[in-house]
This record gives sequence, structure tokens and C-alpha cells, in this order.
Amino acid sequence: MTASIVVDAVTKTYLVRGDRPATLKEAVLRGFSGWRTARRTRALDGVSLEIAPGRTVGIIGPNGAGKSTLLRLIGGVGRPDSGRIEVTGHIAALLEIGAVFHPDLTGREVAVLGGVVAGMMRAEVRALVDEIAQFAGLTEVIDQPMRTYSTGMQARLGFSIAAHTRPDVLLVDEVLAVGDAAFQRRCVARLREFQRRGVTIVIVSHDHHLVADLCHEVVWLRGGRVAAVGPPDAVVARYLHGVDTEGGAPVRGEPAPTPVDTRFGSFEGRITAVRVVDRFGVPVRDLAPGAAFWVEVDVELPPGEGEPVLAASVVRDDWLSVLDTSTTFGDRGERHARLHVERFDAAPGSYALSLSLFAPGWGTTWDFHDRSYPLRVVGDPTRAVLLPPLAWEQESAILATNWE
Amino acid sequence: MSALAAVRTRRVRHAVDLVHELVLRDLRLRYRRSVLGIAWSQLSPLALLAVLTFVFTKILPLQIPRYALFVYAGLLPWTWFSGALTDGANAIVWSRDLVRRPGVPVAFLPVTTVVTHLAYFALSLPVLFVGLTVDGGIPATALLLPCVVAVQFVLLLGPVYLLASLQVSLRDTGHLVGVVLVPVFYATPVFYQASSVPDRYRWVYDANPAAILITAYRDVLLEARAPELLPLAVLAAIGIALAMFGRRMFERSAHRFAEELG
Repeated sequence: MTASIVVDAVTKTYLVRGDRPATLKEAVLRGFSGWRTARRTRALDGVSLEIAPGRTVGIIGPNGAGKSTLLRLIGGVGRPDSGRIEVTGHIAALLEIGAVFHPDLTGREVAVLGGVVAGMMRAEVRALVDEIAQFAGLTEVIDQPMRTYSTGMQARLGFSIAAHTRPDVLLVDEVLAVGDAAFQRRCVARLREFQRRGVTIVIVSHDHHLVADLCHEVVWLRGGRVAAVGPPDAVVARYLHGVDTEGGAPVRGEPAPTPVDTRFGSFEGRITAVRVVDRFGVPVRDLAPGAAFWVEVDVELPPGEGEPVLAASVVRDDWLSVLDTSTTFGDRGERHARLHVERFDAAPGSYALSLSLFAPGWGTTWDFHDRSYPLRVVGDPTRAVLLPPLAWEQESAILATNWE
Repeated sequence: MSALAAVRTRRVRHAVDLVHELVLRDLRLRYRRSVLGIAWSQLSPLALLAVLTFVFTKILPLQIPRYALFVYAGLLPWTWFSGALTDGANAIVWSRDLVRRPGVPVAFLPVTTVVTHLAYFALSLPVLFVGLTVDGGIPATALLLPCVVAVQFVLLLGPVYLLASLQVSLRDTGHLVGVVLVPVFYATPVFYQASSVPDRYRWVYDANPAAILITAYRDVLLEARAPELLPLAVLAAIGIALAMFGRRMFERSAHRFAEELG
């Protein structure tokens, strides 16, 4: 199967803004030297990807990692300094709201213009305008000028236009963050519909939940390079833990390998056994709110200088980190460590315990058991963080007011 | 029709639709929220027309018959000419968000500017035709008007492509156009007759495309005669060559527009 998007060893540098003369006067004053010697920053550095038709790939990474640059290059805006980008099929992009959305144009005019700019015929878009307005929930205001729209309304219109252009490749840049929860759900549903229709989707997002949920593969960009690539859960977890594995394999068209192997590292040192037990030493998985548990860990530490680090963390199923702690080992060899959690006051819900072993000073990752040990706090699930032991008390209101 | 031909037809039709929508946007935006609306596009040439007519019939009489029509027939193509070049220089820099949007065929933006100003020109024609009807009638040669318009359209494309791409990296371009157009206006027989220019300066007019075009407009609209073919044919040929060259230079630099506009 031929790839839908090929990114081959792409490097892109940008002029440092303001470093090159913008007017003739400046150029003359500098003796035209700036034209050749302007400083450039590297936005992408040898990035390679291959995305098969119908796959959804998420791009994650810190700000300035080159995510949007990569998305724009895939979209044909600008040209890589070296390397090659090939995209098969019609591209639709869902980027920030732009000039097409001039404040004085009405929603309807913007919808038609946006649709035509995105590659549709006028007649096609005009037939769809009411549907576009309805999807965006803007039917009543579609003939009002854009300046009367809120940011969220503009974003909804933008998404709705892109959603109706029937692309082969859809590029999504961080726009889903704008709408309200209901609209976001509708967007995600629409993206799933695109997936079913075989549209290739590339999503740049800081919403790891969305990325993990929607994508077949995730690319982690750091400093313009691919830091990791692979199944969403594993890559997002590594990204969140700030762990790097240099030079991941390119994204391939085959389905993600399952089950996800959540153990990784260099294995110079190893976590050989982990037991989660209650205070009586009985293995547990389900806990009452506020209950205690112990984590018993056996490790093998290689001989050497410094104090290796053992870290334990607990995350909720929505990535909320609820516990993070670490200890260091003074001695090497086979060691046993026990973590006493005297009260786990987290609210009812699903959690997972990660254990990780690092070289001294949080250097190399020796052994990472990423969310390998499920924990459950029983009770009615809630999105709150805490449910410490508590009780409600009631008394007569008359008594209470008499205190004053 | 083969699939390839169908794709090509669709592409051409889409290009037409795209320019159509972009021109509509320009027209809508320029005059929206103003009471007189699109009428403003008529008012500034009409104001200039009034001034020129007063000065050159009452103060410095030039003895040109039907002077108001004479000036208007020159002023309209000049307005298109200068307007397209001035705005054309900004066709890219004023469309930052379109340029930065994936999938937008940027090469249509300069064309859009030329078409937008052609639209203003076309909107002014009824006034001219009313004037002609009142004073002397519309000659049959007015049917040749589209040919002259086509030559001017083609002639504008190349320079607009070049100016638009140059302006992206060198913002002096737009100012330069404004400065250059002032002497060119006076070197173009808009409010006087080319035939009254002394022979030793005639080469300026023979080399001035705006002068050739305006003379042709007056031939078909006022003088009821076919325009001189050779200069128009030469202009058309130069126009096509310039358009191809301009488009090529434009395409060569188009990949860096988004970056330069940041």
C-alpha cells in the first residue's frame, strides 16, 4: 500500500525574525550584508515519517518542537530546506482562524469562501451552507457578520467548513481546544467519521487524552527531531515522563503492535519484582478510599558510582498524576525497597502505578514499568481528586444560629 | 471525456470559482458598512473628471471636442491600470492568512487583484455609455472594447505577479509603485491628446503602454474607428511574455511567502 503522506529526512530552518533587512534602506545601510548572512534557527532536523492512507497520526511535543512547522510543510505551505514531502490526495486543513474570516463578512459568506478556498466548487459549498451552519450550531446567526461571533463560534464555523470539504488528508492543529465540551464531542465524532471514511488525519495537539484516544500512532517531536514514535499509549506515556529513546522507527502503515509493551529502558539496572500489598502483606488491587498500601520492589543494581533512583508514581486514567515519589539507593547489587503509602486519599476511580529505575541523577532510564500495576479505589467514580475519610454531620438550624 | 480531462476541467472551473469568490470578497469588504457602498468606486474618478474638465475647458481650454467624455474614456483605463498595480503589489502581503493556509493556490491572488480592478472598471462603463448616448451616441466600434480590455488585462498580469512577489521580501516595492505612477500619469495622455505632443517627445508615448491602450479605448469609444492593430498586437505579445515570466518568477519565490510573512 502506498503511503498517503511521506516525510523523508526533512530539515527546515527559519530566518530569525528581524534579522534580515525588510526595506531597501536597511539593506543599503547594512551594505546588503544581511541578505546572505542572516541567522537561521532550525525548526525541523531530519524528520522522517510515513503515514498510510486512512491512518490517524498525532504529533505531540513541547512548544517550539516543530509540530506546526511540520504540519504546514505537509500542507504545502513553504518548502523544506532539504528532504522530501509527498502527499497523495486532496488536503483540507483545520488551522487557526484566518483572513478568510474577515470580521465584516457574514458567516454564510465566510462558509462559501472558506469552502471554495479549501477546494470545493461554489455551487457545492452553497448547497452545503445550511448544513455547515447547522453542524456548527450557528443556523440562527449565519447571516450575521463574523465580528459578532465569539472566538468559539468562529472556531466552530471553521471546523464545520473543513469537516464538509471531503478531504483525503485532514490536518488538524490544536483547534479543538476552542469550542465548548458539546462541540468538542461533535468534532471528535466527526473525526471518527472521517476515519471510517478512510481519511488520513494528522493531529497536532496538547490534549494527550484526545491524541491517545483518536490516533493510531503518535509522533513525539522534540527540538525538531522525532524523539519517539509508536502506539499512542506508550509514546504519550514516555512524553509525559520526559523519557527519551533516540531515533524511533518511522511510523509504518501496519496496525499498531498490540498489546502495548509498557516496559522499556536500557536494562542496565532492573526492577525484578513488584508487589502491591495491604498492611497485612496481602496483595491488593482494590482499595477503599483512604486505605493504606505498600509497594514492595526488588531491584538489581549494576556496580558503579552514584546513587540510582527508584521512582513510583500513580496516574489516574485521565492522565492526572496523583502521586509521585522517589528514593535513592546507597548500595549496589540486589536490593529490596518498600514504599509505605499510609493513606491513599484519592477519589474512587481507576489508577495505575508506574515504577521506574534511573541511573544516578535521573540519568539513563534503566527500567520503566509504565502504568503496569493497576489500582482501583472503590466507590462511585467522580472527577474530583480527593476523597479522604470524611463524614457529614447535621444538627438543628436553631441551635446553630444560637451560637451567634 | 477522459478522467484526466475531467480533473483538468474541474481544476479550471475551480480556479474560476476561486477568483470569483475572492473578487466578491474584495468588493464586499471594500464598501461594506458604507452608506453609498459600491458607488464610491465611481465617485473618485468622477471627482477627478469634474476637476480636469473644469480646468481644461474653462481655465486652460484645450479645445478638445466632448472633453468630459474624452477624459473619462482615458481616466477609466488609467484607474484600472494604476489601481491594479498599486493593490497588486500588496496582493500577497495583505493576504497573510490565506498564504499561510495549506491548500490555497496562492498564484490566484495577483489575478484576483487585476480582476477586482477590472470589475471597478466594468462598473464605471455604464456611466460612460450614458454619457456617450447623450452626446453623440455609442459607435459600432464599441464592440471592439472587449479586445482592448483583454490586452490591458493580459498586460497587467505580469507586472502584478512580479510586484506582488517582490513586495514580500522588499516592502519598498509598494511605495515605489506609488511614486512611479505619478509621473507616468502625466506622461500618459489622460487629460490631453497624444497628437498634441511635440514630435521630439513622441517616443515617450509610443513606448508607454498606458498611452497606447488609452488611445485605443478612445478610438473605439469616441472616434468610431478601429484601433491601430500593430501597437496593440505588440502589447498583447509583450503582455503574454511578461505574464509567463512574472508567473514563473512568482512560482519560484512562492514557497517562501508563508515564511516571510510569518
